Amino acid sequence: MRDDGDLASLATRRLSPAGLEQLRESLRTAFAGEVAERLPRLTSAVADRDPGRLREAVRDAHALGSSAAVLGEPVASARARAAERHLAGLQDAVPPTSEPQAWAAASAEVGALREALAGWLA
Amino acid sequence: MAGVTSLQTGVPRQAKRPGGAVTVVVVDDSAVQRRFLRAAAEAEGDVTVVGEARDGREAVAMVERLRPAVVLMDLDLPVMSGMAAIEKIMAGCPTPILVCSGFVEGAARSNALEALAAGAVDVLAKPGPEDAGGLEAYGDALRRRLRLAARVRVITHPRGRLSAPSSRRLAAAPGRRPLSAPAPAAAARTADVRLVAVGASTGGPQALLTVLSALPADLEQAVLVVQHMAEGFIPGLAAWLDGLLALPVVVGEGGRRLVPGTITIAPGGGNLLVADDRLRVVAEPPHAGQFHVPGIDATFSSVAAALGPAACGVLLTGMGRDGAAGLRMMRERGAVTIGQDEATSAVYGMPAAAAALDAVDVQLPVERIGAEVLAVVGRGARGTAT
Repeated sequence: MRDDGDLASLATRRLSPAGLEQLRESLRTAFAGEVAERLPRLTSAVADRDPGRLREAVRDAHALGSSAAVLGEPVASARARAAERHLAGLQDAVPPTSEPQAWAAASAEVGALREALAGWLA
Repeated sequence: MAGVTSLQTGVPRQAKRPGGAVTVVVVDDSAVQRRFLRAAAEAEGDVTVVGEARDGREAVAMVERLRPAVVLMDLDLPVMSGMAAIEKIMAGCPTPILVCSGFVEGAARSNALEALAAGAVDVLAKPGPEDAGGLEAYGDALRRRLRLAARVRVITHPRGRLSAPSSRRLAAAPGRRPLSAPAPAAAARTADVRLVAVGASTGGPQALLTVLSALPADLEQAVLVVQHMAEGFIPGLAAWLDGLLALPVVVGEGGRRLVPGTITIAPGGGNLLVADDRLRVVAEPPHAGQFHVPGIDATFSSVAAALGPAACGVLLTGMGRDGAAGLRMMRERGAVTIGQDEATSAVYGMPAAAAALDAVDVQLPVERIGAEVLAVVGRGARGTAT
């Protein structure tokens, strides 16, 4: 669910209605760009079960979660955080795990995130 | 986006614009976060974002070039991490840094403490799912923290300063002995000291680490530390210090006694008072209107009342004046009191207030305070400020 009302209250003290709409559009554009860049990379790292790409995957999930919160997308933000936690667990595993169930669970979390962000994918 | 090395909007080498706005460089690899933080920071017109950097290396170069009043810094950055960038900025171009990261809460709290130890002046968590309906409040908090950070006078990163001669002599009040000399009465009472009470605020974690590192594992005195810090971060501070110091470090609890040879950190959310000369402590809620929690004045004055000359008081770096009046009470009751000097204080506020109140026996650079404490408790020769 997209809800820019809060963002509006954040910026109305200084921005004209046109300026506010410009800010909203700018954030939407930036977020769409982040989704387009980070989500496929994240999905690919998990699909390939590549421990060497986990750090970047954690960063991608984290960035998507923070940005989704800013955009008024609490469901996507929460799913990104869930994926981040799972990926961080894989990253911290010593030795690196190749346990199929652990990776399948991570894949499911990323799948849920993709679903939540489907509206942002061109 | 390749090839875009910076997004700064100008105003080179000015901490503030002519109109007085606080100038900020935002460092984040997310375009959404940069734009949001800019909008939130600039919403009331008294803060201006003069540059945006996407990684740590770019941030270091931009801060050197633009000299902003504050750096708003993410920690998890590509190319050069935020932590490394903080260290480089504080070593080469000291600037107040407000960390804004998602990796500073919960299990990642140690990152916040490491950032503070590296020289950052404050830490703010990034918006998360729980903030999705409260971004206005988040923006208010961000601007408040930026304004506060802009007032902090920072110094070169302590690790780069340890060899620099930074101690100085304080002017003695008329009719009083020079502050750099050990008090004769203090020299006679050193063997009786049972408690070392330490207060710190902005820049405190690194200063605490430096001072407490000098204390040996067989120290016979109890150590009580009051560090201004949000409630949830105190256990992380204790765990962080516990992993680095010879003495065990615990978080204090009301109703218990302070243990000799143990460093007790006052918990957040209220004040921790020493109730009697058996070192029993009690917790009390903050006073009405108390700005800093836990309060250093509250603890120091309780130490003065309970232990008199059987205590040593240390007031380290920090904004404001909390601890100054309490240290004065300790000194009046016969305790030896030590203040951190200006040159090594991240913020020379509390120690300056203490010196102005004539609450300080000796003022020293941070790296010499631990040895002075040992001398006060009878474990070495007392030095003098130079």
